[in-house]
Amino acid sequence: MYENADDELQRILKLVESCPEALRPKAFEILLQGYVESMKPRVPAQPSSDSERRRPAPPLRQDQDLGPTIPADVLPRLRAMAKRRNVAPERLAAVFDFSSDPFTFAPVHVPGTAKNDRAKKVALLVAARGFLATSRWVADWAEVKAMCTHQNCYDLPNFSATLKRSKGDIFKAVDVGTGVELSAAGTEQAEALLAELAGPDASA
Amino acid sequence: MKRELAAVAREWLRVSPRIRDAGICVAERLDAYDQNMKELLTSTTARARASALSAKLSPFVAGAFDDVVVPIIKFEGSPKQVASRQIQGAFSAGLSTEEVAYVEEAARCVTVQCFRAALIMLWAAAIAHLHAAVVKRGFDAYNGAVSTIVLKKGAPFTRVKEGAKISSLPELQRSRDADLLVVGMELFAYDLQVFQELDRLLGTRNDAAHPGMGQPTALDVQQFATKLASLVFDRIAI
Repeated sequence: MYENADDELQRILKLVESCPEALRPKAFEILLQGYVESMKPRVPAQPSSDSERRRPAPPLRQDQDLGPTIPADVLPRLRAMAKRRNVAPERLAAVFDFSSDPFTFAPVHVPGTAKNDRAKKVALLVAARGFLATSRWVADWAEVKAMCTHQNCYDLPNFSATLKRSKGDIFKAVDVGTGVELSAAGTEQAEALLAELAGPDASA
Repeated sequence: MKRELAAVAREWLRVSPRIRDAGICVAERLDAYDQNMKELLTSTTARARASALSAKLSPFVAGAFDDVVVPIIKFEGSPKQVASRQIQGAFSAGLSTEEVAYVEEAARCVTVQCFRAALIMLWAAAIAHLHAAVVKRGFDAYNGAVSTIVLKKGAPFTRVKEGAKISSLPELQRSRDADLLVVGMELFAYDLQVFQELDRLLGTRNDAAHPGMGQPTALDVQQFATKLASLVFDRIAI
């Protein structure tokens, strides 16, 4: 940082000299500030205040129009996930219903035949929704139960045991009645499952 | 067996009105189950055959899961309820009764998509916490902090005037939140960056409380709660 500061300062001073005398201090201030700003590392997203965060998301390219309803906080995570999984962002966004706040799942069918296998997949998906919303790979217990009921894979007597069996594998922690936290393997599988539900990239 | 059946019937009749109030089950089905259970309870106190008791219980056994349990599971697992729980979960245990009341009200606001109201309630919880912390440290300490702040030059210290000194809780309650945040730098020993973050949160609260084009979302409320929890509740002990 500031490796060429001497040269830049000379250029600034030369420009300032070309200004009318009364405006030189202000011109120097503006040019110096511009130089300092240009030296700052550019961090993508992460707005610094709540008011900035509430601003609508930056405009999208026409081929990536994800609609205006995706919360600004969710959009960067969704785009990053889509890129990691090589899926078009709009296809990934179509797995969710952003017209409600908080956003929910669009009608999806969780693949699989065995109830316990599908229940685990539901937990992965719910955690993925949690990640997009709050950046934490945690699935709310009641939400997993509700989605399992909706997906017709809620096995009342074995539900807790099914999820607990995967602790140490795809789940880092399973707190019955509270939530399920995904492990690294779990996040990988959750992203892959979302990508599978999103379908292949039409442009590929 | 009659005793157990009576206990089941009583328990159902106890929880049934609350399920009805939640408005998540079909009222006609609840009426039918109430009637079943009343008859079952009556039968347990009279001479009745096991088959008669079984006949009265069987409609409940056959339908209650789909009619009652499944709607409750879906309701509890809806993203609105999840967001509500996450807001409550952002605050660690040990909140005062007053603070808990505000946080719970904020959480309820989220379930009915009243996000502006939720922000206001969360801020009220934070101010209740700060007021309690001031009372705990004493008004002399608060006034001492005001005196120190008044001597400082530049923003934001110049916001606080000598008249900000107080000697009672009602005066503290009348004082401006903005002043309290500035005095807090001295009294609670947080730095300018924490102050600025709190000041932004106060701005968000004020935006929510006044007409304007801002449209806070559930995520905004969740982030607001998380920040308040770490900046106020975790940092400033009572």
